[in-house]
Amino acid sequence: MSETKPKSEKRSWLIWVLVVIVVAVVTGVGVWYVTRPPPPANVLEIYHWWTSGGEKAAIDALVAVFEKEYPDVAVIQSPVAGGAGYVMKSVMKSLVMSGEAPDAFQLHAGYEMKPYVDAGYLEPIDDLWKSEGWESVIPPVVRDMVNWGGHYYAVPVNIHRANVLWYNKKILDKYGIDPATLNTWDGFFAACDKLKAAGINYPIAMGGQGKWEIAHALEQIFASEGIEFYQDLVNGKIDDPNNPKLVDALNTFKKYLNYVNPDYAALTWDQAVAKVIRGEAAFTIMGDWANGEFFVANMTFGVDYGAMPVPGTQGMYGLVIDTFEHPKGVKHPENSIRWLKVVGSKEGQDAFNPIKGSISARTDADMSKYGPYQRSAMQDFKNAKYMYPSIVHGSGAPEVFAAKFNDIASEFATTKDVSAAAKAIVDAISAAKSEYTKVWKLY
Amino acid sequence: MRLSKDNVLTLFILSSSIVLVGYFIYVFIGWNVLISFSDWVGLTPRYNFVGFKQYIDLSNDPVFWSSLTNNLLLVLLFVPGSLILGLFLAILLDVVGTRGEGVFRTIFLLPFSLSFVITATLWSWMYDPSLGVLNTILNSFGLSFLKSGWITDPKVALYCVILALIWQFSGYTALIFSAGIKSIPETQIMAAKVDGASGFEIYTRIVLPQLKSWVLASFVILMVFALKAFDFIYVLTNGGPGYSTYVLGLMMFIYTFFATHFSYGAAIATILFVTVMLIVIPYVLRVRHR
Amino acid sequence: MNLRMKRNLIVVYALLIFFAFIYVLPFWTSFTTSLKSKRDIIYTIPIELPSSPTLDAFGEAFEAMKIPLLNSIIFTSLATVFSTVIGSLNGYILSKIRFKHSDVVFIFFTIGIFIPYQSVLIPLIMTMSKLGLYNNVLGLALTHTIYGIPVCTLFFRNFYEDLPDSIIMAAKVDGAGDWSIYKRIVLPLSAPSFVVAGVFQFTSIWNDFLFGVTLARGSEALPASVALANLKGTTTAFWNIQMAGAWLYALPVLVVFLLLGKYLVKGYLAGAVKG
Repeated sequence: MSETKPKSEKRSWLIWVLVVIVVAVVTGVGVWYVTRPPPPANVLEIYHWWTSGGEKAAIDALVAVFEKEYPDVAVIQSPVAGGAGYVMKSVMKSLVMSGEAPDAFQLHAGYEMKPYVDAGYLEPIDDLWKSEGWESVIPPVVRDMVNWGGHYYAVPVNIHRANVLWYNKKILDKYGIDPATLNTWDGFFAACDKLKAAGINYPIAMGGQGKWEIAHALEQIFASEGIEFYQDLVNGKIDDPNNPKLVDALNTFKKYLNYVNPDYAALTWDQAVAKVIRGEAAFTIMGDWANGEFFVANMTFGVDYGAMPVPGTQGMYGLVIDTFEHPKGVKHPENSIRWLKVVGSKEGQDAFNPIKGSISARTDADMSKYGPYQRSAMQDFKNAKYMYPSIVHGSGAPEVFAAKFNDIASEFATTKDVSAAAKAIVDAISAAKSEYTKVWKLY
Repeated sequence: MRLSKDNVLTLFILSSSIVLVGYFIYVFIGWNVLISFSDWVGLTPRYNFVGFKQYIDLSNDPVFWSSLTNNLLLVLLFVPGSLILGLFLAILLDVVGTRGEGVFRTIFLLPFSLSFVITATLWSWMYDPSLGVLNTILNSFGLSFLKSGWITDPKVALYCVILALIWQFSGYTALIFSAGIKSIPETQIMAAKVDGASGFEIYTRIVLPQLKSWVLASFVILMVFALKAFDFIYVLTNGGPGYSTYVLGLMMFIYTFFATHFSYGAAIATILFVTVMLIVIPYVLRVRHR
Repeated sequence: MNLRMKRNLIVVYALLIFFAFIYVLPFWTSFTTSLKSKRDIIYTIPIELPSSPTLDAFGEAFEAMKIPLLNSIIFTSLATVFSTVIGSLNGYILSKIRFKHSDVVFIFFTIGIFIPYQSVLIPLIMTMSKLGLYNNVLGLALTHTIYGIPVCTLFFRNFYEDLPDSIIMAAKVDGAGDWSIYKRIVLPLSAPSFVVAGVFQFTSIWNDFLFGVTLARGSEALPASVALANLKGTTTAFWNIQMAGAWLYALPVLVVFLLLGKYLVKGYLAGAVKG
């Protein structure tokens, strides 16, 4: 062993030296890092899920309005990505329960706020609503979505529409389909048949990788059964699997699926929209954040593509609303209130929404700042007969139900079994019975 | 045990690990088991004892059974698959020796180096039936009869997931086996060669038997993953189509954090631990110091 | 070398190249996508090359990921070094020094590997917050070190089990203590195991998302894995930036692989056993 001893000793020295160097350097950097000067005390920390592209630009614009108004406050943004805040929801729950809530965080209006309100993590902001006069500029259903037990807990920052049918106008023109005929399901399916006969095998594009895309389409079909039915659904009043409207809606969806691309489960919503843009499909049902995709593809609204309410939902506005609220016991409560003021202000909303692609939650918005699709959406919003909260996007139904709804929709798309799906929905509602604490009044 | 300087050092090192692991892992596990017997829903801790209610609800939940089955399938297919492929690649690498094994080994490790979010996206583009890489290649090679719905077909989806996971992990098992092969004393190989053994015989009679402990080490790592798997599946299929690719880790995440049903999620976690113990304890008994 | 060996070698190389192709295939789409402009993302399918390649995506990705990459390098390196060293010490104790209940302690550690991170998030945040280590690179390093101890202990314990007891015995007969044996004999032989454990730890910690997203906020302590995920917008889909970011993200890991791979040299044990 004496010949190899120097060799292994040299190796062992080498390893020791390396380890010591690495640890020293890294620890040194770490210590320097931790002993840096503390961050400024006058801070506003906000959490949201608008992490990239147009949405990031939008929140930056809103923050800019805040910073102009309150220049001595340092704003720290903590964006957490993950489709429609799925990741952020879990992060936020953990943070809030551990006492680390940020000064303000983004939530969907409606049931998504319920766990926080129930547990007392949010402060009521009725005074703020009064002093800012929001009740007069924000429609009733929207107000109801941020109101629990008679108190306001949040401020809506935008309105997205869920029940939008997007179409490739050039294709419709080519085959002589008038969008006005698409107001009913019969008319819509007739148009699909026409397209199919002309060689477009799957006229409807749909995503499905996250499952919610499927549930999203199904939800609008439920809405097309009438506002009374939808209200019963979100109030947890559907208890009969043979409910005629429930069964009819599922059968409509079954027919709908016949025209949908078979690879939907591998596509994200934007890839489905891309199919419409490329002309492989003519239609897709998606919330109006889809508008951004057409915009980036340099398509002109009304010329290359168009949007209309989902068949059967004329005069109805499906609401997907983001809000900010005032958590309890946060580190900078005054800044938190200041932030909410800016969020709810006309200036703030008109800075944020044109970039985001949604519309202002206020009926007094400055239309000139918005693009063509948004202007038409704002008209519809002003003149909407009924508004309804989206289930899929965290508002209409308790989370326990919403989570199951995605699975049920995805399972139905696979099996097309109407009675099984109807039963599953009824079961899911009854399992969540105790959670239905809000009584929606939509008509 | 005498209280020599060495023994004190030993005691200090081991007990500090035990204390840390004990708190950060076992105390937290205990908290989970405790909640699984409560009816806690929502963000206010609720510790009402409700016995086995959560477990009974679980047993009636089709999502749970689908998850459990899928996890078992993962254990039965993904673990051996990664082991065998890794072993095979490690042997190939050993044969070529210094003439390129470094390059190839790094290529095989490439998948392992990427986060699941990225690889899941890459595989969704591989598996897309109409635009995806796989079907496109099969088409251009005239093999279109082999095309499939891949992850859009509930009967095949799970196997697609398993295949992608084997792709991701086998580079690492190959690394482990590479290390194992290299630690076999050169003298043994020399002696065998002198005795006229063929390459094949050397591998089967000398190398393979000595890789046993490495196999067992990789086995545990792969097993851990088979039972904890979550992010990859969440991004690639979110448990779909339908319930076909649901796994316990995913179910736990969705129920704990979306539905804020902490007690339900804790029950799933507890079942996971019990399953783990059923696997690990026999394993350790086997690897006991002889 | 004779003809039969040459032919075998060709077969082996062919197989290696075939498998390498399969391993690299899924990366093709990330490569093409990272060079595409946003317009290309909509108008071309993933397998196609960009119509007009551009490096813009890389620029944007780098801007967003500069600090997180540094953060991750710091806490991942720290945690990897510490957890592997502790694992080596524990493994040595459990296999060579041994005492009455070694196996129980071993089971204790091994079961700990299986804990799903989702179930410990809340108590973990509370603990970190109380310790003042919340939202802090050192806090992340500590967390990952602790959760890495069980698996590193497993690796090293198995590795040391294979070391012939004869070497240890010989040194003991010469009157050496447990830890001097460790320093002079066992540690130098541990290189392969450090590679295996180190690669695993570095990769797992680098790729961890769950702890990173809950224990860090803002951008001071944000890990690269979270920053990468943040490149994915929720209402806009910039695949090109995401893929470019993915390459930037994978770079440090690949560098680690290349560096550590050098230590996988044949015959470490040869010298020890010979005498």
